[in-house]
Amino acid sequence: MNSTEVERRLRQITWPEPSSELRARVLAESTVRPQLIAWSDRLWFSRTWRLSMTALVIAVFTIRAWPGSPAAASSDPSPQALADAQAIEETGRDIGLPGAVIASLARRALGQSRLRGMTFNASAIQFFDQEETRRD
Amino acid sequence: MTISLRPFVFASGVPRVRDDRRDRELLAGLASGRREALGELYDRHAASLFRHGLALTRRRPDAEDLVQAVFVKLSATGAELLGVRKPASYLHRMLHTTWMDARRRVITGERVVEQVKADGEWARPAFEASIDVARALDELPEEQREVVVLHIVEGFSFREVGRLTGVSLFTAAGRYRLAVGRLRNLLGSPRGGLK
Repeated sequence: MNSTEVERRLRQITWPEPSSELRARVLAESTVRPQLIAWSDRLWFSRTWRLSMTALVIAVFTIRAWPGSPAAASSDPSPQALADAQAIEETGRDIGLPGAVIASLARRALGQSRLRGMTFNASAIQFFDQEETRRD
Repeated sequence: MTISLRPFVFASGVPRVRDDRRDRELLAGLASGRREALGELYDRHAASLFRHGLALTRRRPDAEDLVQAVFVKLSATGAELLGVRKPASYLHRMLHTTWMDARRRVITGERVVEQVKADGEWARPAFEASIDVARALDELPEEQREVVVLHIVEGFSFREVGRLTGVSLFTAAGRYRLAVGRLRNLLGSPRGGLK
């Protein structure tokens, strides 16, 4: 006897039905009370709402990860950018620049580092070079 | 060499047409407290749940108690019913967990439950030839019997069977394969290999 024959014979079994009293018993035992479903429950358990939220989360992450997007530019600076800004601040202090100028340079370094492909603020380097030459 | 699993996994079950949309409407009605929704849900699913219960308990009164417990639980569930996508699977999973909970309580209470062999009580064959099949099915371990009934009789895919019994698709398919192999041995041997 093969599997197909076993399956065919299994399907031939006639199964009993539950007794007729069971329905009445179930309806008597069950406590169904009229209740108002809150709109928040309807929203939370709605398939459309869940799918929309998932799509929204994916969209937000995609936009943030996109290199040229404003959301990506406004993200937190990388550790490298922070280190650069700190180095500019220390160097500016060493050569005796005013605090406002140092802060401005650091801000520009942080702003520039957010754009990919630009590793350092070229104008700041130029400025430091000029300062070095003037002092020498 | 390619291994074709798909025909084995999906071809043997009887595909059942389920009106999930209507069932979801009924569940939403039940969540709002409409008693007639419970009655209609009972009419649509009680027989199927009862067969599942018989496969697990092998005793008619126990199977009826299980079905009753499922509907009582269902009526007390509330707004969560609005999130049910596949009502038939949901109800069968509820029955499975109810049975497992009941068994766990019996085991922790250290009561030894003797499995009562109730020949002919839980499944009455339509033809003389299928008497042996029903008896052979009775010889299977509970989890194999459950998979056979859910897949062959109720038409659930192995993925669904796995979900509602808390095992993987492959475990469900493996149990089914073992069950059919064992049934072949039992039915192929003299007197069906049955005691």
